[in-house]
Amino acid sequence: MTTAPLARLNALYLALWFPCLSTDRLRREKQINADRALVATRRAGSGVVLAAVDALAASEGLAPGMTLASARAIHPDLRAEPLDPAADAALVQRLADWCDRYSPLVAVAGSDRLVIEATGCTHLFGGEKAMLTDARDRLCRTGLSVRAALAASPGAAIALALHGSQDCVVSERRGLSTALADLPVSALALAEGAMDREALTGMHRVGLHHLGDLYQLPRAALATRFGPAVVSALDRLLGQASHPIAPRRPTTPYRFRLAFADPIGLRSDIDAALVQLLLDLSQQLQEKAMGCRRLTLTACRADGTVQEITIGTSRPVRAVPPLMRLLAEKLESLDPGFGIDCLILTAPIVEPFEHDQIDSRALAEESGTGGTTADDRLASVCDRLINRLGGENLFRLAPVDSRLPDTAQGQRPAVSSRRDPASDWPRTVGRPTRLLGQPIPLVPLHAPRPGDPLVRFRLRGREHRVRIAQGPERIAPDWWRRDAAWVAGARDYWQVEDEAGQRFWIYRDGTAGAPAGSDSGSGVESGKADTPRPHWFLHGLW
Amino acid sequence: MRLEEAREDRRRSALDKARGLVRRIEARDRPRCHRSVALGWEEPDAALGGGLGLGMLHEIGGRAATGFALRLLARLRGAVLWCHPASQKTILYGPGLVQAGHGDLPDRLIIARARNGSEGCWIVEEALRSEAFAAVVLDPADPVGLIPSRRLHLAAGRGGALGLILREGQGHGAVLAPGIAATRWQVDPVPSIRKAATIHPHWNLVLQRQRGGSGDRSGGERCWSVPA
Repeated sequence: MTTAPLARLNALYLALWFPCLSTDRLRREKQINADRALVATRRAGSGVVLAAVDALAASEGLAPGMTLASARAIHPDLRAEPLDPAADAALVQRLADWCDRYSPLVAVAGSDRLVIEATGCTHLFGGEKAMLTDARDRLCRTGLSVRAALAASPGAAIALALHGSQDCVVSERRGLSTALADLPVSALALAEGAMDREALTGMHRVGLHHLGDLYQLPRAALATRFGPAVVSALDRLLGQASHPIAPRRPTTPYRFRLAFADPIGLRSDIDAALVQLLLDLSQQLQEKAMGCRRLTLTACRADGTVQEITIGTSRPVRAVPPLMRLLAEKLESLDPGFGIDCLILTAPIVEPFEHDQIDSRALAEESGTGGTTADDRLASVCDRLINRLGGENLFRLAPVDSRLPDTAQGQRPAVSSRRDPASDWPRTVGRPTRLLGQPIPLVPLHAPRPGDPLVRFRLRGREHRVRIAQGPERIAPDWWRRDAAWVAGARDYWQVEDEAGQRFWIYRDGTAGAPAGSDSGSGVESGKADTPRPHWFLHGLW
Repeated sequence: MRLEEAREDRRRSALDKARGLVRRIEARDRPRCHRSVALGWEEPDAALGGGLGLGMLHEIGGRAATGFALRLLARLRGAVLWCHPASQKTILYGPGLVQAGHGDLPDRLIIARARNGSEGCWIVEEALRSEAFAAVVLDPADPVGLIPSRRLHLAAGRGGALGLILREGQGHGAVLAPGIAATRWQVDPVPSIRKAATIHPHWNLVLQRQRGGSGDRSGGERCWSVPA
C-alpha cells in the first residue's frame, strides 16, 4: 500500500467510443432500416472508397479503404451515403454537451471519442458501474453504438473502450496493469500523440504484441530501442505519469446540478428547481464573498438534446430574486420538449462582492427590491433590459473627440461596474439636438449663389421657405482619413428656420461651385464641378 | 329555507370580497402623493397648479414635442430613459443638447431601442416601475393600446417617475388610450424672434387636455406662446 503524499480523490475517467459514429448518424437522419448494411463513402482520386462501415457491413468483410465497387461486389444490397465530417464533428460536440450532465470536465479526444473526468462524480449516479451503464444505456437509446470504459487514467479508459471488453471498470490504479496486459501495443498511441508507427512495427517484429509483454522489460532498454515516447506512453496508460485531458470549457467551482427521476416539463416545476439551484449557488457565493456576473443554465432534455440560456449582470449579484427574475425572462425561450431530466447551473464569471459600509444592499436584494440606492436600482433594471434587448440596444451617449459632427458622438454601456467620470462634451455652437444617422437629400427649388443659403427647398414632399439662415459653418474632414461619408470633401452647414418656425440643420455637399471660404478642400470631387447644382442635405433637427 | 339563507350569505360575502378588491385596486390606482416638475413658464405653471405631476403619464404631440420633452428632462435630476423604435432615423445628439442649455442631460440619458411596439411598452413599464429613473420617455412606433396604456399608467403611479409619451410622428390622434394621460399637449414651433444678433426660438403651447384640471373647463384648450 503506497501512501501518496497528496491524499486526493482516486482519479477516474470515463471514456466513450462511438465506433460507428458516421453510419449511426446517417442511419438516424435518413431513417435507414437497421437490417440493411450501410457504409459512408468519400471520393479518393477518381474512385469512391468506403470511409466508414457499420457493424453489419463489417461482419460481411467490408472495411474502410475498400472501393465502393468491390464492396458492392461482396454485398450488392449495400446502402452507400457520402461521408460528412462536419456533421460528424458537430454530433461529437453535441454529445460532449450532453455529457456535461456527468461532469463539467468533458474532453473531445478524437473524431469519435470523449473522455470525461469522473473523479468524485460517480456517487451521484450510484457508483462507478452504475454511472457507466447509465451513460451507455442513454446513448444506446438514441441509436448510437457505444463502447464505454471507466479507468483510473484517461489513456487507459480510452484503450479499454477501444480494445477491452464492454463496460470495463478499473477504478484502482493498481488494477490497471492487469487490465491492460492483454491489449495490443498499438494502444500506446492512444496515450501519446507523438508515437511513431515505426516503433509499433518494431515491437511487433521482436514479438512484443501485447502491453503485458512490455512490463517485464527494463525501461532503459525500451527507451533506447523504441524511443522515449513508448516509456512515457506506458506510464500514462498505467497512471504513473500525469495525462491531462483538455476540457472544452473552463471550469468553475460554482456549478450545481439537479437531476430528476422523472423528466419535468411544467414551467412551475422548472422554476422551483431553479430556485433550489440558485439558493445553493447563493450560499456558496456568500461563503466565498463573491457575486456572479454571468450565469449559465444548461437543460438536458430527455430526448438527448441540450439547451443553454445565459444571463449577464453589470455588477456582481448573489441574491436569488434578481437572478431568478433575469433567468425567468429567458426561460420562455426554453423548450422542455418531452421533459427535462437534468438542470445544471454554472457561474462562469464571478467577482468579489463589494459590501457597502452597512450591508444594506445585500439586505435589500434579499428582500427582492433590487437595492436601496438609485445606482443599484439602475443597475438592476438595466440588467433586466439588457438581458432582453441585448447590450447594443441600451446605451448612453458618449462624446468622441472629433470635428466631424457625425462621429462626435459614440455610445457607451448603460451601466458599468466602475463609476464613470462626467463626460466632457464639446461646447460647439450651432449643433442640433437630434442628428440624422443618414443625411436626407433636399430638393432645392432654386439655385442659390455660391456662399448663399438655400431659400426654398422641398423635404419629403413639403415645401419649406427659409426665413432665417445662420451660417455657413465649414466643416472639413481630416485629409488623412478616408471617411466614406465625407468623400465629397468639406461641407457648408447652415442653421435655417422656415416660415413655420421649424429649424433644420442643412449642408451643402462638396466644394462644387465656388468655395465659400478660402480653402478649396482637398479637390477629391473634381468631377463634381460640371454638376450644375450642388447637393443639399438635411443632417439635423431641433 | 336554510338553503336560501346560505345562498344569500354566500352572495353577500362574495359581494363584500369584490368591494374590498375594488377598494384595493382604487387605492393602488390612485397616484401616491408625488411632486411635480415646473415647466419654467409662469402662466402654464399656474394653470397646471405648479407643473406636470410626477408619477403620471403626459402625452406630447406636435413638431416641437421632442424639444419640449428635453426641456422637461433637463429640469429634473437623476437618470432618464429614452425609448425609441430601432427603426428611427434620428438620434439624440449630445453636443446639441449641451449647447441647448440642457447641461448634464446627455450624461444622465440612457437610450433604449425597441424592436417593436410591445417591446417599447415593456421597456417603459419596467423602467417606470423600477424607481431608478427620474423620467421615462416613450417615442412609440404606433399608438399604444388600451391595456398597455393602463399598465404604463399603473407603473408610473408606482414608480413615481415622470412619464412622457411622444407623438411627434403620429399625426394628431391620441397615442395613449383615452383617459390615461394626465395632460395632453400640442407643441409647435412658431417663427423665432430676432433680437439684435441673437435668435430666440418660440413655441406655441397648447394644453389640450388636463385630467381633473382646475379652472375653466368651458374653454377646453388653453394655449400660450413661450420662448423655447
